Amino acid sequence: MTIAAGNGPSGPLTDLPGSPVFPVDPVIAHAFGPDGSLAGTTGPEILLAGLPGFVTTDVPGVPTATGTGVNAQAIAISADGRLLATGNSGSARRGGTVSLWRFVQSR
Amino acid sequence: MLLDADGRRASALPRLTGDDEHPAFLPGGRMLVFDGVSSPGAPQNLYIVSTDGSGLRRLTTAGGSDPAPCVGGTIAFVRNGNLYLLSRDRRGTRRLTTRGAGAPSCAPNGRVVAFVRDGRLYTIATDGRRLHLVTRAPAAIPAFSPDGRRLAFVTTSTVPAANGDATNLAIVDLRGRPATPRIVIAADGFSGDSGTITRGSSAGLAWQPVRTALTTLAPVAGSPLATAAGPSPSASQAVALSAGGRLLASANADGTVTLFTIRFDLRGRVRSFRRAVARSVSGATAVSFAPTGRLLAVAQSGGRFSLFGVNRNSGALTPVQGSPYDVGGLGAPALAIDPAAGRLAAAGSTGSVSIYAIDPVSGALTPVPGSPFAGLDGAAADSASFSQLGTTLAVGSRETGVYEFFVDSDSGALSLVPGSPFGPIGVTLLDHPPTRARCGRVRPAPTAR
Repeated sequence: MTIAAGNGPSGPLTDLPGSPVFPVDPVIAHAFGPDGSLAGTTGPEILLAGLPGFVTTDVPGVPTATGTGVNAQAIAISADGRLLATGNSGSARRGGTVSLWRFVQSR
Repeated sequence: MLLDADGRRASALPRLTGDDEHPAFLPGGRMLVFDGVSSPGAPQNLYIVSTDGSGLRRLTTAGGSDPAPCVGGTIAFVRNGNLYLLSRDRRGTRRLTTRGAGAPSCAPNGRVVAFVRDGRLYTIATDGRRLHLVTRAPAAIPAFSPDGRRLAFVTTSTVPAANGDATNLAIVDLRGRPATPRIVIAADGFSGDSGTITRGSSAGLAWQPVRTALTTLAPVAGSPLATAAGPSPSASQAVALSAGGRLLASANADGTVTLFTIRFDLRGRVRSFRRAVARSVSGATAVSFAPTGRLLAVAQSGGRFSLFGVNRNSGALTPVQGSPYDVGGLGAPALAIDPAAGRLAAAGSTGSVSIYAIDPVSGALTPVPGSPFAGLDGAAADSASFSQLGTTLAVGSRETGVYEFFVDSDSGALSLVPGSPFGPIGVTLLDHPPTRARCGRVRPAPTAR
């Protein structure tokens, strides 16, 4: 079991080699994939990264930021690592929502 | 100068100090670290600045040059001819060498720094241990490869016919013993300035990053879906996916829980994504599926939680007999269900952990003998997670750290792992059973090398 320690729910992860995994602040929610890859959200962005040895981005240790169009407050990754779900806060026009995302790999 | 990766756009930063040198990107790419001087003739120190030129800040006052950012947020640098490491919070420095060092390069895993001493290439761990002579070949300007397995460096060799030295680019494979450098570009093909290399100053090497598959996200058709029908559905504040990926649960700010169904086609692509059921669960704050997908635990404010049987086709929820369960305290308990779905752990604000056996037929919960178990030093729990084999349970508290428990495989009783709590405040868990917890263990200060 590996424990990644952070600065509470609103801070970047620290204490693992490769941390802070997401050098942005605040990361308000995060979730691990089954391969050890990591997703976090700042709200409007979903950030993807691999921990050392599980790098999923093109440059080790550098996360991918994805503009989502939603304000994600919660995040989960499926056990098979194929899907990512976000729970989103509401807006004046559109109330609370959930989103389902699939991972896409491109070269 | 900043240059886009495709080489199409270049921009110049204004002069920031009396002599800006050795820029390097910090992890994330939004900040630069470099060495500069506050005034002509003043000693060099480290500075950081945003890539747009704003936010200039000096990091050191006692000298510093040749910064080498490490992925963990620390920065290796040179001070008075020796190697130092600036902590990730930029408040402390650790001296790694005492017999000279220059031209540091940090390994991609952040654990090792390569450097040059007396024209030879060395590595040393960032905790100051394991000093290692990589090669006896003359060396300057090392640069770790993106996978951390190789080091590129500039080397020189004697050319008798020319009655002088030739400058070459060499690569050494760190996995081999003894490490023998392989010269990849001979003198005629290398554009480096041998004089600059001898001084070990401004020249540098950089690897082209290995471009593997770039992972991005694409929304599944139907996303986003409202958490409830009606004009103003409540915000989702926690989500969980079932192990089979066929159900998505959302705990909403108005205390309701919504289940969504996900259907796949034969090729495993999402065929439909629909809202199935919205159910009122008083004070719901978090949701967690059992690995079987047949049970959903819902944490509720007031130290309670509920367990529901889940119809995996319709998403309908049926309260398990005895729900809601009360573990005491004011906040919502942290919940975890073990991989075999045989036990549920609930840790609340009372400083104890309750362990329940789950009836395999009805889902009803029965406290195991000895439950609740003390050991959290009275701290409130914020997270809980079983290991993949269910033999350990980690409970995180933002107040005090991570408490690790052994789980008796027969009785389910907990015993605290010596040394708990581990680590700083705030936790989340990555479950990999072969390795040990490595959070926040304090090591003796290493002897300077």
